[in-house]
Amino acid sequence: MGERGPGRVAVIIPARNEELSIGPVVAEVRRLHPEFEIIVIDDASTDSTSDVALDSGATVLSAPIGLGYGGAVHAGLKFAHGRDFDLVILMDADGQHDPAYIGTLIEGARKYDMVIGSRFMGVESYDIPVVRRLGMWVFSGIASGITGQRITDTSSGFQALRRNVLGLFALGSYPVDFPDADTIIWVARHGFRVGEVAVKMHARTAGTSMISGLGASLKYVLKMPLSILVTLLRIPSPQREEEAP
Amino acid sequence: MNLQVRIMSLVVSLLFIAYVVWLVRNRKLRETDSIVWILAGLAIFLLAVWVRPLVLFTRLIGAKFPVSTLFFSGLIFLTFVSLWITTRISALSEEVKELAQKVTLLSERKRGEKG
Repeated sequence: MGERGPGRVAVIIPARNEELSIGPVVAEVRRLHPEFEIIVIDDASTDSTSDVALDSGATVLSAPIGLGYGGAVHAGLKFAHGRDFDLVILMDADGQHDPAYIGTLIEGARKYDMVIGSRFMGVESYDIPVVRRLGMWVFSGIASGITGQRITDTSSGFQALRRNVLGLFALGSYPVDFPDADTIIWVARHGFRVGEVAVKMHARTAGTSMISGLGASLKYVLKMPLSILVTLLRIPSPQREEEAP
Repeated sequence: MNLQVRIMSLVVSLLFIAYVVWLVRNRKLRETDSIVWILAGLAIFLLAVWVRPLVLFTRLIGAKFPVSTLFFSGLIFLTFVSLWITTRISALSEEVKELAQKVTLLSERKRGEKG
């Protein structure tokens, strides 16, 4: 990212059946950052999510089958990488991520290659169930220990990725279901700088989460330690010289 | 193994091989995927005809009856086949995801292009 600004920025928003919330989210991002391209990945919604997003001014990519949260994000990253964006903002469609903090993420990208918007760094956010908070705490601790950086919110989907990290994910793999501590560790293992900034998150305004239910939570708790382990066992892919930090 | 068990094993293995061939003939199973099942059927057939190796193996692993060895071997075989099938499903899921993402990237729409 140059001194003058972040360059071309894409805001990637995965959405499944979010017709009630996607409109205000896209409109707010457009109001605050009219120069950014907003890309909504409609993950096989059965409602009018894609039409609402389109009418709100987003570019819409429609998946023919459910890709899952991570699969939809990955499609967006591939799209942004192919269109040569310099910086990508990832945010949710349900209104949890406050677009007012996109600027904070971009500011963080001056210092880091992957910026995580953390809800646990002082800005008041919505209450999180104790069990989920415990899981977040454990995986954040593991990620902090491995990366050597203090990470407080591994499960935050509110992120900024610079071009080098965008390339790492777009040209490589990305978790299909729950991108979490494993992606952070993978980025750090490539020598990219990972850091957090404080953001505010709200309770979702409508619809249901793409990662919800007891089964999904159980899968998350069982899968994440394994994902972290195999991420540590994998050999980092060689980066092109211009993408090195 | 007594004669009845051997005859039953022979009949079952022949029927099994015939069924696998029928599935391949009707394109419900690919030739490549059928090989492991044909080999399994042939193994049962051969062990029913020629019992000596099974008896020797039974002594080697300390089992009492050849039939127990057969069940044990069958269980291990099926466990590995299940694992192999799971890896195939994982590979197919990855391919489907890649294809779906490519279709997704081709579906780009902007305002005014609603169709």
